Amino acid sequence: MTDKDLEIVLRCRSGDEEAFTDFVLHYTPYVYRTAVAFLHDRTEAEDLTQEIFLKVHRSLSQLHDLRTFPAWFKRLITNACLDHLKKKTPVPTAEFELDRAAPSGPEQWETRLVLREALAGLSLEQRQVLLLREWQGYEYREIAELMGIPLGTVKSRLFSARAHLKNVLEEEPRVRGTSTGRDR
Amino acid sequence: MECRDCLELISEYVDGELPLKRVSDLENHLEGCSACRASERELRELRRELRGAVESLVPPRGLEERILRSLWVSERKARQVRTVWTALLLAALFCPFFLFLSPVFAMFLNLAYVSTDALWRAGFTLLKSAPAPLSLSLGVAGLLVMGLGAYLVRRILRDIPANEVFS
Repeated sequence: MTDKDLEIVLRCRSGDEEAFTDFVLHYTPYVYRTAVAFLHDRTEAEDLTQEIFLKVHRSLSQLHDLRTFPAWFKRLITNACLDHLKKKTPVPTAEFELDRAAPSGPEQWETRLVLREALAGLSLEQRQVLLLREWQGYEYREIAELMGIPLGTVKSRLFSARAHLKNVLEEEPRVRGTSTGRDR
Repeated sequence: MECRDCLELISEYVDGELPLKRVSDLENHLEGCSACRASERELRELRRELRGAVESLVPPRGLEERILRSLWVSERKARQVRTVWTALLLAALFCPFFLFLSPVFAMFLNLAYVSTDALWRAGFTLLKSAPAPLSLSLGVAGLLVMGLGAYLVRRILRDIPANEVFS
């Protein structure tokens, strides 16, 4: 977190509405990406992103130590996503749509597209654990606490999720030889 | 260490979650096994690609504006609710005070009633004794003055920032 980020948060906490506009502009991509990755539904992710910012706006004044903001914010987003998934009735996973953004090269673009489709193919539990680790950067112990599952389950879900993604990438003709199989 | 054991532990190893006592065993095995080394590289690559896959998701156009709009709407609603509650609370707090002073208020009300009554009576007596056109004109002028007074009071009250005071 840079000094500028800290300054924005500090101004937001004191009720500066202009600072909160900057805050929303700065953090919307991160919050939205996290929500889409967890929910696999763009419309719901948009609604959840709005809810998350609303929660931040209401509770930021209660944050006493600014240094804890990154962890506090990350936890708030994670809990919102997990709570939303708990309330939601399971439906067959929707496929990600193509983005307006194109990653650097066509090979990378294919790999990312396939990976996102593969993520949709994971079980909800595996996806949650994988995203908490890879995207949110939580330690195994923290993931176990957040999800209320034993540490061993975290490890096994993570292992199977990665194995699944690896298999999908290896079997996928579009990316075979461009990504993980490249080193062979 | 066998390749099978190594492959089971690689996931924890690349996450930095493998207990130290097992790390050296695993690293020794990796040094001598190119297949397991390739698996480790693949896993690290997969992690990088996965983060890239999520990072390449782009928020739809105008999402930020929609978020800000919904925020201000909800903030305004919350402020209105706060205003109502504050007003109710203030009324509840002042109720005992008003009850305590009710005889004084009653006295003032009575005085106002008596003096207004006397004023109206005097006015009517004067109007009745005056010629009809003059009495009609005075009546209309009186009504206009009352209307103007009501309008001025409304203007004065409208400029009071009641919402800000209550919230």
